[in-house]
Amino acid sequence: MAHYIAFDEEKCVFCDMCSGVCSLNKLEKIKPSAACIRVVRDPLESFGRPSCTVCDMTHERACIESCPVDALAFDEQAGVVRFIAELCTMCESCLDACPNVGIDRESERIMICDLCDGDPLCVKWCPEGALVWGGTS
Amino acid sequence: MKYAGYAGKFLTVDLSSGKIAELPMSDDLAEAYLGGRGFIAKLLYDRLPRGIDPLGPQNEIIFATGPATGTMIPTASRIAVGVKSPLTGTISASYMGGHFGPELKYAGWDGIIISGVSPQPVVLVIDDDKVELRDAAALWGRDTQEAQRLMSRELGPEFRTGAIGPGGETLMPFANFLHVQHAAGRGGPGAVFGAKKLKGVAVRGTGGVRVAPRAAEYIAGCKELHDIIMENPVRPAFRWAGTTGMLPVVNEAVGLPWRNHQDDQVPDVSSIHNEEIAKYVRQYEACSGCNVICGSVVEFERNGKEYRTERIEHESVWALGPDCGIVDLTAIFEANVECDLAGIDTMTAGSTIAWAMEMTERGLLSKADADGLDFTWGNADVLVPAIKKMVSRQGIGELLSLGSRGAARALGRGEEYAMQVKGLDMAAYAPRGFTGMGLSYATTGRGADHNKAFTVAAEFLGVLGDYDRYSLEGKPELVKRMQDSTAIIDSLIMCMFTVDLGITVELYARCANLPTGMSITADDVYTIGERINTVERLFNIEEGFTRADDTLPRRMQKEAAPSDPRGHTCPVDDVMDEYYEQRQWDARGVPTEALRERLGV
Repeated sequence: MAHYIAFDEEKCVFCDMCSGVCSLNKLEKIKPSAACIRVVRDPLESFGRPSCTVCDMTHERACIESCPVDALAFDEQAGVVRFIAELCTMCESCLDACPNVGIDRESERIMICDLCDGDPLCVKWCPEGALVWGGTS
Repeated sequence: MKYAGYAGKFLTVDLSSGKIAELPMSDDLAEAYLGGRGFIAKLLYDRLPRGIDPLGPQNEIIFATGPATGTMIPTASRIAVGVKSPLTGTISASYMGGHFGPELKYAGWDGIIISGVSPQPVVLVIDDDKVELRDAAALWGRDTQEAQRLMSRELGPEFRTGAIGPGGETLMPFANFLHVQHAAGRGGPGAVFGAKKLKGVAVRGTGGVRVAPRAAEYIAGCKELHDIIMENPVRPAFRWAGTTGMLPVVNEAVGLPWRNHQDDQVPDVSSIHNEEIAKYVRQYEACSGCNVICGSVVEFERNGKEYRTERIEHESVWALGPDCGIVDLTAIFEANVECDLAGIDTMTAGSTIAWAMEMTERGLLSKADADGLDFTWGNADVLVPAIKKMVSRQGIGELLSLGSRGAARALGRGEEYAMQVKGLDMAAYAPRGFTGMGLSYATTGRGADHNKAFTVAAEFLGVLGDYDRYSLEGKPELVKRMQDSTAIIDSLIMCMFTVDLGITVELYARCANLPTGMSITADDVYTIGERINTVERLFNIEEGFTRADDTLPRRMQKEAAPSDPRGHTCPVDDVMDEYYEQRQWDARGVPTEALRERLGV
């Protein structure tokens, strides 16, 4: 069983709270561009809808498949992908394999949502209820 | 720097030579002036020679964030844009929300100091520490939204953009700078951009910002602040109506000016009621790090044309509507869009049209003077043509492009009908109905700004005490105190709405301390705010402003609003001595030596 965060694009208001709190929690720095969850929109559209990049378990664990050194592994217990920094060679194959994988080059970390050990901060911080934990696949 | 929360340096860009460099921030500057408006006050006061032409090469544009910007402190999305104002000749800082400020911080910059004049149109592109000036010939002449789309197309979706429109290019003294549709709105910064041939600024920041405590502690502290706002009973009204919710309430209380402040109540506000505006809302929008969520997108149709745009704000509805005797909602929406595309201040635009309408009513502005435009009260069809003429600066447009006071002076008559202070037109809160607002308009550094001491909170909303709306008793102390605390909100930089949403002065201190590791007290908040107001005052005094400039139009002081059965006026001149005493300024309005010594300025 895999768990993931479900994103409701109709409810998102672009407050960036999710990526702010995620990056701070994971990296000790507010750094939305390197968060496990990022919300973007196309500025060429007039107030267009968001797209959210967060692991939603829809890419057949392509990140794990692509990793040549087992730095990514599926945690059956928690139902999430784990990153093992000691094994990573920063080859960035996983970034090519899945659009929902993020990276923090400063700390050399691959950023994939791990649901904050069962209590996802982004869900708690979303003021509009656009993020819901409970999706399973 | 020993403090977290800051990036630790300013970017300096000299457009004349193309030289790009950095200026380290100091702990002393942070402690004394905090950020945002404080930095702008100190930097412009120290750097600009006296008496310069605001549109000349010696003026500077200063973008400044504050220590809370981009740190998840609620509403701390804002960035200040400071210049010597081409409209007022005073020091001036304007603010815009959205996502631009945090992005600049994440790129590693607390702010940008822009000097000189570029030989040809350019855009400033900041990609973390890679900074360049790019040719903007293809952007020149484009409206604010088209220019930003072109920047996004060239740079990609990750860059946050901002641009001036034709108003800035034609050096209109109340032109502004827009990030998406968030405007650094008043005081004319856009004209300074235009004079410098700087069409826009784009920024991408991937570096982020550090805060003082460990993440878990910071997240818990920040969540407390967010919850205070989230649980405030007023928050749903902001979430639903934005600023427009105030309109019917203020009108009911005889506090919403009508027809260039001839009266303080709109006869029938039903067509521009926030419930009418809400019918056009299609989606909600927040600024970065904000859980108030006052923004929204509307769709409407006017004269067969379809629009999709940001919902209008309270001040813009009023200035382009009731102030001109207009209550045709989609006409007001359309005029608002026209101002945003041109990159000009909606409030000054509306107030200047209102002045032209009163001049017409009094027979002081003929149809020939007005190039055939019909400035009859309530003529909604004149709004867009008048705005277009202002921006092109042709015919009557040249006159109106100067703002109401500038127009009156150029015409040689009608200055008594220019509803302004120091050249900045008044806002949607009637001084005769809220005397604290009158005193605030009269004494605020850049003129009749409603956001430098929003005393309506204390006089009407019951947030900061219980003052008699009509009496000036106690108002010098209230205005002074609120001007000082507001300077901190403008320096952190947080949103003014937080005053109404449970954020007290003690909590503003906490909002400064939490990300930075400083230990500011509530008393310090007032002292830093007093220092900022004092430096701004010194700037203006040295530019030649005197006590005579700290006043309100005669109408406010001598004539009552017909709709007010008790016939109140707002004689601010009567309490100016008391206000100066509160401020420790001498009888001429000059900060005393004792004050300067106490504040270290």
